[in-house]
Amino acid sequence: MTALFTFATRSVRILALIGSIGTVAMMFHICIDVVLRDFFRISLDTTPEVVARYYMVVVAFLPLAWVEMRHGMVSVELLEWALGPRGRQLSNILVALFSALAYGVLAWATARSALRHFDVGTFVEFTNYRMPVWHSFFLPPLGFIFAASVCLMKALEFALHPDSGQAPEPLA
Amino acid sequence: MSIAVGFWGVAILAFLLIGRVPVALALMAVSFVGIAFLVGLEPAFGIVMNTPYSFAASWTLSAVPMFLLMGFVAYHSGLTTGLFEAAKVVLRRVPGGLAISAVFACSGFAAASGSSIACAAAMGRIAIPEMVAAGYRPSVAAGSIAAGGTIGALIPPSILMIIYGIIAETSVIQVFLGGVGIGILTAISYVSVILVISWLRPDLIPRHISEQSQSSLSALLAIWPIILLVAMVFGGLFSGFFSATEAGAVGALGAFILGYLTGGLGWKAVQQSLLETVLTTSSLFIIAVGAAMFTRFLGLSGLSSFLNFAVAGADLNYAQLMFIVVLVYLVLGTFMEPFGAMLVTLPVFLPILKAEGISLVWFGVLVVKLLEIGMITPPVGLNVFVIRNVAAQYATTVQIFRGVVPFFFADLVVVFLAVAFPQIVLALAGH
Repeated sequence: MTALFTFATRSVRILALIGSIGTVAMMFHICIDVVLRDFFRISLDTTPEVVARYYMVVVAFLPLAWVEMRHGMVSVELLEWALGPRGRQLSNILVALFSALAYGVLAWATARSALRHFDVGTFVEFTNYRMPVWHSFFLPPLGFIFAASVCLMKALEFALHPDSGQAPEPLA
Repeated sequence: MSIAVGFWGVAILAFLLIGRVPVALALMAVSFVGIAFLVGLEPAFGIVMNTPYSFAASWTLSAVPMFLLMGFVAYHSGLTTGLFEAAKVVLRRVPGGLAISAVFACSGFAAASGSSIACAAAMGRIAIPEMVAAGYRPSVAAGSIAAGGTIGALIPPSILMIIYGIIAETSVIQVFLGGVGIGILTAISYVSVILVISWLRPDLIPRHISEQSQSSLSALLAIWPIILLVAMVFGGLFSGFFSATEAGAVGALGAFILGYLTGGLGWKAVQQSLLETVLTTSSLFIIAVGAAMFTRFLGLSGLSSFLNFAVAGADLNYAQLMFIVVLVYLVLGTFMEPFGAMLVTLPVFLPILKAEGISLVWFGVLVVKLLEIGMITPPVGLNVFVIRNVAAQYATTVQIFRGVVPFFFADLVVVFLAVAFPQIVLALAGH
């Protein structure tokens, strides 16, 4: 079980790392586009599409599992104070299972969408060429599958260790 | 029938939120089940299949991670740390100068970062110990920083405003310009509160003038990197040289370069900045995806149109409508985090306000101001919790909430002025 948790933690961190690399790449790509356009009158017409369809999808979905692992999802803690230790444990388990189910549905639905785009080979058409973008449709289901797995692990953790809290692990 | 489903959806959403289900997943679950109930399972799957990708794959939305990165790099590389020192030296002869300096430093920090919490945490660490040592009542010192932190989300770049602009399909740059107006007004109102307390209750905020060894010039010279960064980003943005995304990217790269040149950017700062950027981006986008689905659900249920007709039929005047809006956001703000509260309510309010002919630029600025008030009101005042974390030895949570009270009333005055005289916001936005 510990080995499984360690493997999952490492995988999730790697996804967050890919998200970080995507953020830096997005920054450089946009800056290069600005410099080329404003100082050399060269237009990279693919920049908005590459930013939107690759970097943004990477940054939005791949780190989701890591957000879940750090208990970083935004929620309303209105009744937190009213729950005793047992009530909090039960609530944590139910929320984690609900989240796993929701991510599971999202993963399944977006995977269906990705397979459709793969079948038709979705691309974006520019004046002189076609940029394939079907690959990027596989990123949301990947992020959702890992997020669902982390939520299942959290449910197990809450069930086995009633005292396991919601404190986020250190960032770096 | 379908309107009843819409109302049930809203009620179930409230139940799930109170049950501590993450806001994003609660919005998605209610939307999925509601749409399946209204038009069938296959169309509901269709929306779940397409919305996450189509929402996130957006050029305009990429301004969010870029501005977040700029703010985190500026903060972790120490570019913003000199702001309080500089304001302190310049304002050393003003009664309550330390608290006023903290408010001005928050405003300066806000121009580099879009986060209210980051602003409160950064200033709280630096300013509260000095204020307490200078004889300030800890509750007032902590309260002034908690309130000052809210300026972080008002003065651009503001992440709340970018997401609002995209959801409301209005100009992000105009909302930013409106944010400058309300941010300055908020800072003036907080400074007024500090001056009045210092005058009436010197036991809370001492009137004495602090001695400074540093000259005004050297203190101001110490903050040249942040001034350069802000001038470059906003000069380019407001002159039309950059789009919002480009301004964010250039600002982030500028923060990296300035952080490196000033010696504050180590590997740890880079790591921390990048990880905080992806963490915040991912957790915000998934809520926004949920809100996009919820908007579709409300539209299909007919609830949005029903509420439009109800408001039109009730013949509410501007003041009555605004009273309801302000009340809803103030109540939601007491227990909901700003992004969640904004994205849950916009699908309901935007169609009504559009139908009433109210400027969506102005409304965006007002919503962000109202949600930021929620950051300092109990029981869930996130800025207060942050201050409690960084200055636990000085004040309890209850004491900080007490210290915030005068600033809360100042906020209500600002909201009243913004509602009564929308030109305060719209003048800068060019409306």
